[in-house]
Amino acid sequence: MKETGHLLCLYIVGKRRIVRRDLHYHDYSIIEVSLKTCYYLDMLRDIHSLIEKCIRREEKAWEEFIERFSGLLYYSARENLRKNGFMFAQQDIEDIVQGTFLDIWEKKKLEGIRERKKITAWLSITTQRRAINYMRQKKERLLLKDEFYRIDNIETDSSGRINEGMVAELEKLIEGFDDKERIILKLNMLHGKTHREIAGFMDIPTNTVSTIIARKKKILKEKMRNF
Amino acid sequence: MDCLSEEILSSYLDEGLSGTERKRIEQHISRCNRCLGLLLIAYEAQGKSRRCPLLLRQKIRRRLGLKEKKIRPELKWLLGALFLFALSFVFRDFFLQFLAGATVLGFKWAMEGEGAKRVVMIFKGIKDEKKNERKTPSPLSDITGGDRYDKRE
Repeated sequence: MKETGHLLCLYIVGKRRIVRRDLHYHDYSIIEVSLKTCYYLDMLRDIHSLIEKCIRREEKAWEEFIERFSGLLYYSARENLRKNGFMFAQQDIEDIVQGTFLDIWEKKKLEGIRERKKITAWLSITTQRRAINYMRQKKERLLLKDEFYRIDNIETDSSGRINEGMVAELEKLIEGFDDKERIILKLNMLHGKTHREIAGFMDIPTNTVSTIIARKKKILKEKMRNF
Repeated sequence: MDCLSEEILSSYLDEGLSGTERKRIEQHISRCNRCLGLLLIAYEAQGKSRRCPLLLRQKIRRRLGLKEKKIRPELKWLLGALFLFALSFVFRDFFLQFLAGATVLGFKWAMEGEGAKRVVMIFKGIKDEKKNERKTPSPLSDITGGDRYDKRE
């Protein structure tokens, strides 16, 4: 109870009651929140303190950091390379994940993050960008060595890859739509996401997504008829 | 088109993002397929708990220069020995029995320790060397063709 803003969580049927005690003002306030929110708050608080400790270079915190986020980095790197049609080996993924952790450690990148609750998304995006750069550099390395025959093994037109021609055609057709509608259509038509998944991603109601998709697809069909 | 930084891009997945910020990011990702793809994978990765291969985690630890976790199973024998030793003073009637138990556990702890294992290996090595020395015939008999008692003629 010495910690400022200490959260005391009590179970109530279906809900948890949070008693927040602020030692500075000796003020007690009770907030009722859903279980989901409470777990989310607990988790965020945990991540905050974990990152603070990592910045202070505490070894145990780094052990925990690696334990918690290495899976996320591994998944992000592999998915990105797979979706972009790169042919890769297990060793490539391992190099990318190790390189990302090393970069964060050596360049003290955690200090630069202002919003620590976004750490998972930030880590994922950082790894994916590193993965793309890694594969590009690998390609260049092989070109320098005149090993042209190996280039085919690095980038191929796999089924998961978004067809460039199709994207160009779709972008031309949806030029007049607003930004939100364009994102929804791309996610649905190019990435094959369901209405619910799109709604979760964009933080909007599923009904809105369904209405936009139905309405815009109708317009697209009419445009296609004119071709 | 200049892509957005990792921090700005990742803020899109934050529920508390302001409307203007959200619009600014949407304006970019609606035209940049690469950033949309990055964000989509980041969103998918968030909800799933995935584990990284153990060997890779160990490699990362090594590269960051973190100490390897040392598991010392022999410590349980030491704790047991100390516990029995303490009990021998509590139950004075069974002092000798507890003391004997503590000695056995203490011996086990000493033998299972890293240092003791090394000492045992050294002794075994010396023993094996001595055995080998005994088995090798004396080179003198081979040269001179001595009798069966290994004496020179």
